[in-house]
Amino acid sequence: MDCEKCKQLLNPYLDGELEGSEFAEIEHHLEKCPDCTAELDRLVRMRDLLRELRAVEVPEGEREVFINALRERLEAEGIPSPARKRDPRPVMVAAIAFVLALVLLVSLPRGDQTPKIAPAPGLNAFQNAAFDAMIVGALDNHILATSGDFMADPAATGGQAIAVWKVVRSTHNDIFEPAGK
Amino acid sequence: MKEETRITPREAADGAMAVRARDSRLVSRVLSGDNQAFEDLVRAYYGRVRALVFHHLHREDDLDDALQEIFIKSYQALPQFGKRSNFYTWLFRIASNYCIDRLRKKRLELVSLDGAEERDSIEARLPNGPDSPEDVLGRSERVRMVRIALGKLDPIFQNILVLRELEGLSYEEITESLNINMGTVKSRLARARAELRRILEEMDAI
Repeated sequence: MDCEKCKQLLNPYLDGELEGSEFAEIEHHLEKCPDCTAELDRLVRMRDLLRELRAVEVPEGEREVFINALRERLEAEGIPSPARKRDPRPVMVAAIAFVLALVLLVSLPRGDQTPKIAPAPGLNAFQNAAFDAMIVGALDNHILATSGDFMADPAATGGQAIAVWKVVRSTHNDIFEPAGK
Repeated sequence: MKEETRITPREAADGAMAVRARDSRLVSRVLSGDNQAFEDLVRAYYGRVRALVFHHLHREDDLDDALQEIFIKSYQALPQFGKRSNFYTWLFRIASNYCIDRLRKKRLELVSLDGAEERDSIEARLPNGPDSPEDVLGRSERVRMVRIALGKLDPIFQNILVLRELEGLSYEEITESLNINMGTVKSRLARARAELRRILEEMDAI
């Protein structure tokens, strides 16, 4: 290592921010270079001077006086809380989807089309898909709400999930009761 | 204050991870509407922020207003704190920006003064009256000269020296506090020290 490189690294060396080979190289260079050692000494003296400014003590009781004054100012100026506001939009969208799916399920005539996926007794394919979406959507919303990732009230999403469950139980009990039982 | 939110000496000694976890919990509670948790954050960092501001402004009589502005800014900006950094480095960023702004405005006010008057002005800002903390702490004239020299630095240089030498932040913490990369931390710190040394040499203080 030459003097120019050493002087570039003196600051991080002084601050304990050098590691590995650079640390070893600068130590080796300083052992044999009086100029760089003198430069390091000047940096150390200045750092020590600066650090004499460190002691700034908080007068007794000042902290609590400050906190009281801050609280009063927040209240007096009506500075709004940074608390996250619950965004009602996802809940509204989920509620509308739920109502639409429910209307679809109840109002569509039970045709004799052959359901293609997971047929529930007495449902056509369209009703079946709506049913699936409603159940999965309600459960997803509730899981997200309870995990805190979704700004919705878990009580509301839980209510939706239970409502779906009740509809399914009351109208299609045969889904849950194995045949012949 | 609620018992479970009190910052105990044991908690403070538990290391950086525990402090970070505690701050994260407090921030979450503030964001849930609990203002008591914000007061706990202020209580935890009042001393360090107070020292940081004092080392920039060099006067006691402005401290209270400056600290109120800084903590209110942090209160309002709390939803933007991403928890990817330490809370205190984020708070120091707000405090640093405030101090640099204040110093720049002050420099503009002083721009019409000549060098001697500017020096007088900086000296006049230093607390050296008979009842000042300077006397109470028994600070030497040499320390007083360092304060004057620090006050003559560009605010950006003054800020990085305060963070490193007086607040004891590591380079990594400075990158978080100032939102600059490691290379800029190293070069800015080296330039700040060189400039401070030049001023101190001019003043025959070193």
